[in-house]
This record gives sequence, C-alpha cells and structure tokens, in this order.
Amino acid sequence: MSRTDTVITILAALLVAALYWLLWQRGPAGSEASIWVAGQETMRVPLSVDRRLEVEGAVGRSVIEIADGAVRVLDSPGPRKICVRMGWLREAGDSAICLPNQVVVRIEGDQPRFDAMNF
Amino acid sequence: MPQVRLLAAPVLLALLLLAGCQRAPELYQDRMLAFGTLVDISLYGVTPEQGRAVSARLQQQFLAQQQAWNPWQPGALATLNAALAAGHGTTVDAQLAHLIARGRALAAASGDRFNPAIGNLIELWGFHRADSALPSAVPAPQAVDQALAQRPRMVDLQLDGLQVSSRNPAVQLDLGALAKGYAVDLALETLREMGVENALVNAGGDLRTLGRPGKRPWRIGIKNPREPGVLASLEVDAGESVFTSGDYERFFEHAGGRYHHILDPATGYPAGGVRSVTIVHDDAVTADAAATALFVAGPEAWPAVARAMDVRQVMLIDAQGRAQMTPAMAERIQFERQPAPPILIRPL
Repeated sequence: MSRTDTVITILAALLVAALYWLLWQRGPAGSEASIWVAGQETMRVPLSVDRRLEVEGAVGRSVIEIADGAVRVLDSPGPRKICVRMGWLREAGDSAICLPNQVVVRIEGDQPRFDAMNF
Repeated sequence: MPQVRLLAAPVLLALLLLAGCQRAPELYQDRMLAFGTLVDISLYGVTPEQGRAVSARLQQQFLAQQQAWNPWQPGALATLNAALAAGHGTTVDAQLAHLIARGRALAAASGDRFNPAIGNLIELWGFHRADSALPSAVPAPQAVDQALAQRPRMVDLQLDGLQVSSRNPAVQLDLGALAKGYAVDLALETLREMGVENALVNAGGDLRTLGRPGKRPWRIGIKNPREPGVLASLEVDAGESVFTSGDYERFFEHAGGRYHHILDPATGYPAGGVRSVTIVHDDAVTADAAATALFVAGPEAWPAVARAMDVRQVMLIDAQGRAQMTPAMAERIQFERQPAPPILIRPL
C-alpha cells in the first residue's frame, strides 16, 4: 500500500469510529436547567456545579438543589409538594412544576433523543 | 500523481461527512403553563415570527379554556354546576356542549368507569383545589357512601342543543379527565388554521401530533412510573395521540396509605392495582377518557373496556410492575429500561 492509501485508510477508520460514537451513544444528559417563575423563563443554571439556590415565587421561596449533574426541588411552599416528590431531574425534558409558587424547573439539552416525553 | 491522491483524502472525507448530514427542518419551540402543567409546543417549518404568533394564540386559547372548563373556579362550568345543583338547566357555549356530549358518550362506552359527573366525590377527597390544604385524612366512609348513594351519572343529563339540564341534582361535572384532550384537539385545529403543517402539542402526559418532523416519525419517550428515566419509547405518526394516566400525578399519603386522584366511581375510592395506563389513538378526547377508564377498570378487566371504547393500543403498568399490553401496542413499543419489565400480552 502506498503512503497515501495508508493515510486514507486511517482517516476512514477514524471517521467510522467517530460516527459510531456520535450515533450510538446514549441520549445526552442535560447540561443545564431552566428555571421559570410565573410562566416566564428567568434563568438557566449549569448542572456541572453543585449548589443550592432559592427562587422567589408567587407565595414564597422554592429551594432548588443541583448535585452530580442533576437538579431537584428540595422544598417549595404549598401543602402537596408535588414538585418536591418528582425527585432528581436528569434527562433533557424532565421537569418539576411547583404550582402554588409558580416555579418550574426543567432540564434543557440539545438534540434530545425524543421529540416529547409522555408521563 | 501523489499530490492529487493526497488531496483526495480530505475531499473524500468532506464528501462522506456531507452525505451523512441531513438538514433538519426549522424548529420553533415554546412552552407555557396551562391546565396545571407545562404545555410544550414544537412547530416545524415556521419562521420565528410565525412561531411567536402561534404561541400567543395558543396561550390565549388555553387560558380561556382553562377558565371555562375548571369547575372549581368562577367560569362557565362552575356556573353550569351551580344551575344543575339548584335543579334547573342553563345554556352553554358550543364547545362546552360538545365536551359534555363527548363525555356522555365515552362514559357510556366505558360502563361509567369514566364518569365526569362525580364532582361531589372529587371535592370530598380534596383533589380539586390546586393549592389548598391537603385533607388531613381520608374522607369519612359515611360521607363517601352518601356521595355514592346519590348515583350521579352522565345519563342523568339532558342535552338539547346548547341547553343542559339534569334530573339528578347530585350531578356535578368535573371534566378533568377529558378537558386536556379536547384542548389538544382544538390546539391542532388552530395550528392547521394558521397554516402549520407539522407540529407536536404536549400537555405533560397528553400529546398529539400534526404531520411529521421531517422525513421520520415522531419519537416519544414514556417515563417510568416509579423510577427516574425513560421506561419505553414509541414512534408515532402524523395525527396520533399518546395519553398517559398515572397514580403518581396527584396523590397524598396518610396513615401508611397512599391515595391518588383517579377515583373509581363505583367504590368512591382511588382505583387500585394499576400504576399507569398509556393509550395511543388518533382522537385525543377518546385517548384521554380511555386512559382514565382503563385505569379504573383495573389490571384484570381492562381489555373488555378497551374493546368497548374501541382503543386498540394500550399499555398498562400494574401494581406488580408488569407491563400489560395489547398486541398492537407490543408491536410498536420499545423498552428502554434494561431489564425490560415482565410483559403480558392481552389480545382484545
């Protein structure tokens, strides 16, 4: 094989490897979360930094925790705590809706595997 | 000549990469809070201006519907319920009349397992108010028996054009198990009117598609009722609806028991034995009602009710974590969780 043939072969092999990685890996975990108050998106937070933050909503403060690339609502005003019970949100599209306080946390990610989640 | 052949390598590479590239159609996405959930809309092949116009119109539409069809706040349905309780009829608008008529037909088809006339029972349990204090306990058995004894049924209603009346004052309509389906169907009508050909409207667990997202089917993920992550995925075609009812959406715990919001109209208590029901069907209103009806029907009896309601694509996750499915559903669902749950096929 000539040197050029070798170069082409190596490049082709690398391309196949790259395509394999691109096409066959699991759907992306979210890289950031969006936080909504009263129906408007107010901020985005990266999931790469562990932290806890409070968000002022309609009836009080919702406490949001980010750890290990996931986010959850730790506490929120209101008797039902439905959004707290959602637990850890990890994949693009996962969301927790705190109705009384009108606070929503949602995982954002580009090119999610699914057009929509049904639950 | 060696130089030409060396040039060929990057050119070939570029060609290969370009060949693999598919230009996806423009996607406009928005989300809005309505019906107590986050409604996601995805529009394909629209300009950002068109997208914004569609969003604004849908937001308006959803809010108006939410107000009209929420029986627990002032609005058209609350007004109707007050009239029915007082023993006289009233006139409603065409959409509400249509919703009530559909509700009555679906209740009949489901053997009243789907029964939107049990507003009194729902109020007794306290599942109706979005943000009031949780009931501190399960309602007293006597109160439940009393509500049951009044036997509110959709057949008690008389529908005469836009005039609605009831021969049973205990009928109080809660269209919660139907309203989102109708809202989604009407949203799709609006999208068509506004010239959108390819879109998806997803109201939490209730979605319907219009057209296709490019040259492929829609990919829908179904969440696991008990663990984080995706349980199963589905490829969905133009115009199909996917609706899920689950025991994890609204519930409270008390004295070691867990009480969720899908009440069995026959017993007055939350329906048991089922964690979630997913329906695929064309019409969203049918899919919405069937998801509730089959949940109430329970893990043994659901196939008969599915037959009666003419829904053929059903997945029911029972309390043991087993996935019961119709053959038509088994053919299209793909489990993402490893290992897949135990599967039971139940031909209709």
